[in-house]
Amino acid sequence: MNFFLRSLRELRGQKSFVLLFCINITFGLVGLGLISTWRQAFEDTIAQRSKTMLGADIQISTRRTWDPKEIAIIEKETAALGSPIARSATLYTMASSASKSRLIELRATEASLPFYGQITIKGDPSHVKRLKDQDHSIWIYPEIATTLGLNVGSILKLGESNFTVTGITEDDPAGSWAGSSVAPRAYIDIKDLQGTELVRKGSTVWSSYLVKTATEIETKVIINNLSALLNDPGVNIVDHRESGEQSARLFKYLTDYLSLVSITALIMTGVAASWLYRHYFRRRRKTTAIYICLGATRYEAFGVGVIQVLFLGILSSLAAATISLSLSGVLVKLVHEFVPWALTPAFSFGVVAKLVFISVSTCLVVCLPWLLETKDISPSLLLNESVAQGSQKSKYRFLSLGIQVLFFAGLAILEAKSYLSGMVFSGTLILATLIILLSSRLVHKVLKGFAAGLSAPLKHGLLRSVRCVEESTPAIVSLGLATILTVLLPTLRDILRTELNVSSDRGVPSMFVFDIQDEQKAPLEALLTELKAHVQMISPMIRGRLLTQNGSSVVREEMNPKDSRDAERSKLMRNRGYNLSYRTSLDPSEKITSGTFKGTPFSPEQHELPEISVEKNFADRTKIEMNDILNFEIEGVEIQGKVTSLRSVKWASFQPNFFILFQPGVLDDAPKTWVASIGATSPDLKVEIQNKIVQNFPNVSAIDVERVLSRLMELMEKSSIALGALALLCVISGFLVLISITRQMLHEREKDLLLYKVVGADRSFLVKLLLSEISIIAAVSSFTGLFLGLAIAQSLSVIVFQSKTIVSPGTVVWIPFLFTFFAVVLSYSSIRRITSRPTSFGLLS
Amino acid sequence: MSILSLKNIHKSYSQGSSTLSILKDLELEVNQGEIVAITGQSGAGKSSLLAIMSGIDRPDSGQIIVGTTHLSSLNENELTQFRGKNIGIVFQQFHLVPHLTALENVMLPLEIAGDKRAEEKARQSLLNVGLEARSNHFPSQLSGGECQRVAIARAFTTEPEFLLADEPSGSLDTATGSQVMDLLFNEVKRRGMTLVIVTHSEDLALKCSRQFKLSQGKLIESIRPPESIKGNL
Ligand SMILES: Nc1ncnc2c1ncn2[C@@H]1O[C@H](COP(=O)(O)OP(=O)(O)O)[C@@H](O)[C@H]1O
Ligand SMILES: [Mg+2]
Repeated sequence: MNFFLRSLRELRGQKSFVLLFCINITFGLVGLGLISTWRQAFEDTIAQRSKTMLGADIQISTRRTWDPKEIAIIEKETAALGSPIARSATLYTMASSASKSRLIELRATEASLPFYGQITIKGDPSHVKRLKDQDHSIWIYPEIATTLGLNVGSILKLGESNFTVTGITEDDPAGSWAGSSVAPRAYIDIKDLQGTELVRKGSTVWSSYLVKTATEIETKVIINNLSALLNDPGVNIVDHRESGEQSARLFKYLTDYLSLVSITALIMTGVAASWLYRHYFRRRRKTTAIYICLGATRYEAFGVGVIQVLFLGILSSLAAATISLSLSGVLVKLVHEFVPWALTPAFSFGVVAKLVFISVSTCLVVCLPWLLETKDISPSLLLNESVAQGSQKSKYRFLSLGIQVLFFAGLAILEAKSYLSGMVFSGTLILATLIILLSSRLVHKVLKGFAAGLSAPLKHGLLRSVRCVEESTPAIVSLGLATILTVLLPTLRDILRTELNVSSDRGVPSMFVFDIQDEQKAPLEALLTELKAHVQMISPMIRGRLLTQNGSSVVREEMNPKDSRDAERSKLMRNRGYNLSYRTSLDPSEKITSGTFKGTPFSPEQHELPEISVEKNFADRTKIEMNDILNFEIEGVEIQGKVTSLRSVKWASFQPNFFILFQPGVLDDAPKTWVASIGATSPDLKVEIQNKIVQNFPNVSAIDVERVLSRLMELMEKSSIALGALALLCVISGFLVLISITRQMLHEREKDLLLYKVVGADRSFLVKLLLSEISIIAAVSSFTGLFLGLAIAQSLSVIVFQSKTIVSPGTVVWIPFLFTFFAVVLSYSSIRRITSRPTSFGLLS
Repeated sequence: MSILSLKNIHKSYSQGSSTLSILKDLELEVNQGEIVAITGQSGAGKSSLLAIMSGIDRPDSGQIIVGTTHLSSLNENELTQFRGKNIGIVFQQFHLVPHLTALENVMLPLEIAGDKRAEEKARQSLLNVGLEARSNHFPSQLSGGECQRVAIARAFTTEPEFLLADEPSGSLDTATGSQVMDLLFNEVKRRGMTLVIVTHSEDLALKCSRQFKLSQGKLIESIRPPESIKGNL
């Protein structure tokens, strides 16, 4: 206890160090704290509401039609435990009133659904209304009512049937997904679906069986049995929790990226904390040496250091927890669009514990080199002036740097829940830091050449910034990283805006028409020609199922809550069932990356397997390689092919693209539907096309791509606001680091400044000197940050979006100027204070 | 001709509630070309006195006249500039700027004063103290004696009329200390400058033209036989 108190007592005399250190770590943690509270709120909601969200305990779904054998299995397995089941089908379709039409998400459910919860209908709080009570009854979301001009009692046409609106929904426990404004939902009874003739061969329908169980154990038993029996990647079997998790994947991905930005803030402030600790350590050496001289062991001295760091860590994490808890409620608006239900962040012991853990380990890790050095302090420094000065560099710096890199990379992997993202992030960060450091040294070298010609205060400012790099490194790195982030966000947004622009012929289509039956293809094309609509592309789509890869059968991979995002994504890809197509020539949005693509029709005489081209990312995730033999089943017929090329596809082109392309001539007779993309049209023509299509081909659906895109842009703006908010945190942290370091640096160097004064430098000389030093540091780091930010944006634009756009620095070029200006303004008060101190200060002995 | 004159100097420090009177009604008159030694017990206030003479610190009351200038009539900035031009100071702890080379340290006061021939003059000063070979070394690469020589070169480089030294050999071993002091004295004499030196060393004090002892806040001049007579005894 005595020992513990002594440790803390030592901190008492170092209030300014304690304050600066804790402010830095606290700020670094706030971002992670916010995200943790949001994630916790998300998990809590799922725990409370996932059953009512799904309306059942288990969902078994597929995008193809059920095989009677499969239905028999499902019925038998659930009946064995006496668990009720019900069917549901979800599809996208056009709905039309007398004069208008629009795309909706149609859910056809059995009367017993939902097993849990209720859909609330406006003006019917006691839930007496039932869909089944009236034939051809439909409940619609308010958006459908307003856009189609409908009311209760109005008639709505779906395919070949007319429905009567019997309710407008007020609250749907199933929640609505982020795209619901593009296709708002409507409910009908499943017995009425048949009559609409919307479900034809090859139509895109998600068919589900929903199961209600009595206990969690029953849920597990049924899922295990069905997984074993329905061994097809195209069948998705999930419990209510998993279903809830999957419905908010956007939120999860967004928070993953947000957490990476937050870790950047933590690293930046960690660097500053490390720097502050170094100075504290150097001040402490003498005291420690005296303690050792008086009989304390070296390990006691080390222990004192550790206890102090632990104390600082806990203090900072509690502050961070308080701040993030109080902010998370307000800032939850930043992410609420990405969750289909409302999030209410609340105090959680788990979040606080996590913050304490992260904070304490961050503090230990950043202070590590000096903590280790503590146990090497020898009392001999009390006798020798030069030993007492000590080295500026810890001899444990390489060991510590290794541990620091591992720690933050590990944290990134855990927080982003992805090995890949975590590694790419860490790698980029390390590279960026190295480049910032190298280029700052380079710039310094160049600047030094000019030193001779400068006026004395500028020259000395320059010399200080060049020769005291040790001191300014953390400020340079932090400000550089902050600039990269600030530059990156608007630049990436600009790239996306250009990419997703519906304008030219080959640009993004304005409309997407799907579920076109084989026999409807010719008349539809004729109709479009008549309407002078520009068809960009029309592609066949064949639903298939991958049976074997190189002879070994492909089985479904169960989702596991502990999966990393990488595993999750590749499982989702594998399990989603395959849409195949064929074409004679590649679309401009496609590029062969390996192998060759012929496009010539297959002939049985060719004595080789038909050729298959696979999209590259898909191949990577599903582990399909060149020359693999793939065996597909299409409506009971097996078709084999060999992978002869890999393609990269620019998905942002929004053309009908497919993961798997067969050689033409193989699938021509397979049952298929067609997908067409229509180029830029006037708004009027678009409405006309849509209405004509609905009238003539009621089962065919048209997506207004422009609307999807604007919704997408809206979501992107929202996420970039969220990212921007956290990037702002980074920028604030960057300046915090700069201010802390300037303050500390001025304090440490007060003696130097006095020397300048003793030899005749007046106050304005010193002010000029310090201002030029700080502006050099700020300018070097922020301009390097600008270039790196643009370079990273350009690489992302090429790698991720396959874009040819050259990033334009126009919108961000002011950032380094602003940052330099800020740096100068923010440090000005410290500079004034330090330079106005009287000269009489321990220079004379 | 008097180059430094202190009249009725009072200085006290408040420590908490009590005040500590260090200098009480102190008087001193130093003439052009004199070398004055000040001795006294540790804590007697020698450094405080030096700080007041150099304008680094101000007295509570009293007058300091350097040449014809009343230091009390100058504001902080004027005082700083005046010191830069007219007063050289050598410290016990050398106090070189760590991130500047020997040459740059010596150039510093000239640059601050805006001297165009700063480098040339500084090189000459370094040459005078025999350190031209070390001009590009940083203080951390120099020995204590070398550092003190750089500090002396720096004090001389603006060619002030008046030099103050606070225990300049205090951080050096005896042999190095006396070498460096010889250097200091020779330069001062060669240039006909005035020097006020605070020292603990009796030997060093005896080499000066006048010796004072600071005690009870006042300077008491020791009347000693002149050097020439002493030699004949
Ligand atoms: N800034 C100050 N504040 C308070 N007391 C001081 C200050 N500077 C010096 N003193 C006190 O004044 C006395 C004289 O100090 P100093 O001039 O350094 O003596 P010397 O150089 O003769 O050893 C000492 O007791 C010292 O503690
Ligand atoms: Mg003294």
